[in-house]
Parts: sequence; C-alpha cells; structure tokens
Amino acid sequence: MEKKIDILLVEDDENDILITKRAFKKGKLTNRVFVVRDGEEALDFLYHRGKYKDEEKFPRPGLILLDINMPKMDGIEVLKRIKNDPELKKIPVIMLTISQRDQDIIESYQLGVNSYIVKPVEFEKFREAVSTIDLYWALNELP
Amino acid sequence: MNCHKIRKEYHRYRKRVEEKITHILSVLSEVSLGDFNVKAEIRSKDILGALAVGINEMVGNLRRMNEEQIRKAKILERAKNNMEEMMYAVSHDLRNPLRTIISFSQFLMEDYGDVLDERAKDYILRVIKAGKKIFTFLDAVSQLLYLERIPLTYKRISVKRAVQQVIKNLDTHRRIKIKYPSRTFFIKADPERMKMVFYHLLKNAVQYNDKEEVEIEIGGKVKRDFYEIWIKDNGPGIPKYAIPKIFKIFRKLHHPKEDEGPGVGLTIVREIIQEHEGEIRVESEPKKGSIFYLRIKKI
Repeated sequence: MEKKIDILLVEDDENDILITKRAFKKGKLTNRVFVVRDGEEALDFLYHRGKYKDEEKFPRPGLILLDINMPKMDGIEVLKRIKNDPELKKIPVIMLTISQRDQDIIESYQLGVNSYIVKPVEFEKFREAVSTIDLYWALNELP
Repeated sequence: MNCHKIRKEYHRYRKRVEEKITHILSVLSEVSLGDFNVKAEIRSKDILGALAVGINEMVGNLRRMNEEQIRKAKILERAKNNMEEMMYAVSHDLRNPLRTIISFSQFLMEDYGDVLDERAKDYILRVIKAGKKIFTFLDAVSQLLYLERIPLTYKRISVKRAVQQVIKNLDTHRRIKIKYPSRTFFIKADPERMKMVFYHLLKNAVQYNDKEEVEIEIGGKVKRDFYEIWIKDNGPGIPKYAIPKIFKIFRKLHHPKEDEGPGVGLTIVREIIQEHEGEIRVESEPKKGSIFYLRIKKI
C-alpha cells in the first residue's frame, strides 16, 4: 500500500489550529498532522533542527498548510525559503489566507503557491484545494 | 544734431524697447506654462521698468499661492492614504476574530445541537446572524477600498455571463426565476467592477423580495453613445420618498423584515457607474417591483 503523507500545519492562532483539526476530524482524515506555531519553527521542522532533530519522529511532510499572518517570520518569508530550496520546493504548499487581498499579495511575489484556502479551514475547502494539486491519492479518508 | 544722428539715436532706442518687451513676453510665456521662478530683469526707471516690477510681484504671489496649494494637496493626500490604510487594517484585522466567533458558534450548533434546548439554540443563531452582518459590512468596506486602489480597466463583457457568475455566488435559498439578456449583448467596461454592480443589485432584488418566487429580468441595449442595462424585479418596490435616499452611504431603507447587510451595496453600485461616466436611476411601483436603469458611456 502507498504510504500516506504527513501534513505540516504552520499556524500561530490557537483557534485556527482547533478549527483546522476539527475539520480534518469531521472529514475523517487520518493522515498525521504536525503543528508548528511560527515561521522559524516551521523551518526548524523542515530542516530537522533543534527539537525536530529526530528525522524518524519528524519526517519531511508531503503537504504544508501555511498561514500567511504570523508573528516573527510570516508566511510569505517561510514560503520564499521553501521555494528557494531545491529539495523543499517539491513539497506542495497551500496558503491559508484571510481575504482576497492576501492572495493578491502572495501572487505579487510570484512564489509558486500550489493552492489557497480562505479561512476558516473546512473539510470541503481543503478537499477542493488538495484536488487542484493532484495529491488526492495521498489523503487517507475513512469511509 | 543732424538728421542722420537723430535717426540713429531713434533706432537704438527702439531696439532697446523691443528687447525689453520681448524679454517681458518670454517671462509671461514661462509663467503661463506654470514656471513661477522666473523674473523680469529690467532695471530701467521708465514705464517698462515699472511694468517689470509689477509682473515680478504678481509672479511672486502666484508662486506663493501655488506652493501653498501643493502643500495642502500633500497634506490631504497623506490624510487620505492614512485613512485608507487604517480602514483596511481595521476591516482586515476584525475579520479573523469575527470568523472565530462565527465558526465556534456553528460548532456549538453542529456538535452540541442535540443536548441544547430550543432557547439556547435560538441564542446561538442570533450570535451567528449578527456576526454575518458584520462580515457583510467588512466586505463592503474592502470593496470600496478596492475601488480606491485599483484603476479602471475596460474589457469586453458578456452581460449574460457576468450575471450568471454572480448568481452562482449569491448565498440564498430563495427560488429565483431569471430572464437574461441576449447572449450577444456585450458591453465594454471594467469586469470586476461590473460583477460588483450586478452582485449588489441582484442581492437586493432577492433579499428584499416578498413574493413566493423571485422574478428578475435583465435586459440591455446598445445606444449611440452609451450602453443601457436594466434590472427589473417583482419585489415590494421602493416608496417615492425613499428613492433619493437609497444611494446614500451606509443607509438602509426601513423595512419590515430585518435584513442583513448595511445597505452600502447601492453606494458601491453608484460609485462604479460614475467611474464609468454613466448614470443610474430607478423606477419603482409599490408592491409591484423596481427597475434599475444603468447607463455606461461607450469609450
């Protein structure tokens, strides 16, 4: 059987973490979801630095959900780092935005985002976003 | 003095006068082109010298007035930019906490609906409804800011297709019977803005409608200098006294049914039509419905 991907959620807002996890639960999604709270932590996770040293325990995710508004290093900056890294840039990134304006900002940087979800993350929206990046097979939904 | 000498003297004098006048004319021409830093350099104590002094004073005053105006315009521009920035920040930053309020209220209904009594559920629905009202308002604010920020771009638009797209996004459970304009009715206008126009007009037509079935008819004509589009509904109509008020910003008609939305929609519509150098007017018959006529200048 094909290995199902892990998802990395980069989100600082406690409420939004809860909303997103609930959406996955409602959608009966069983992929593993790792949560990091800001941009720097996201990069630590992706580069196996600091407390994410253990590559077994914290494997490279197959999909990143990246919030645009975060303290310290924001989503745009994280996205730039990911897309400038020959290895990391293969991982599809779905940006979490608040409004159309956010999308305009991201697109103006031409950073090659794979898809967007306007928050709140609902399972239907997530499914739709994933379907546009040909990753659907990698989701693990219970019947 | 002999005749020859007098003539020579006269010619010299005449040449000097002509030079001075030419100089004054060139100064005036600079000034008329908007350069207020020029000066007539004539120091003679004759009438041309006096003229030069007068002109220099006038130019000096013009320069000071011009500087004052530029200074004021800059202050105004800065204030406008600050205001827009602030409005954007407020509408953007409010969105997130508001969304959280609505989301968790909905979760309460979905996850605990079976253990809550009717009154508790009614309270929660009121929270959700009020939250959505603010959301509509924030959307309107960001649309107004969009109009400020993004310049007009003209493209060929099929009115029928634009309306079809808008209808899809209309969040309503009402039954709508709609008559579209001919497939071949095209206009040249800003597509994003025209979608906003149709959105607000159709939203109002549906939202205020008091009939069993909402009937909307959209038609149009290409005239010599402008396009005309009309949108007709079978709603309750607008009382005559209220018609002048309906385009005022954030004004909502008193309506027996409490409605969503702050009524900023029509203000946005009028704003956009004016940007297209057009006109909007409404004819209405109480109980039978309204027709909105849009005219958009051909370019």
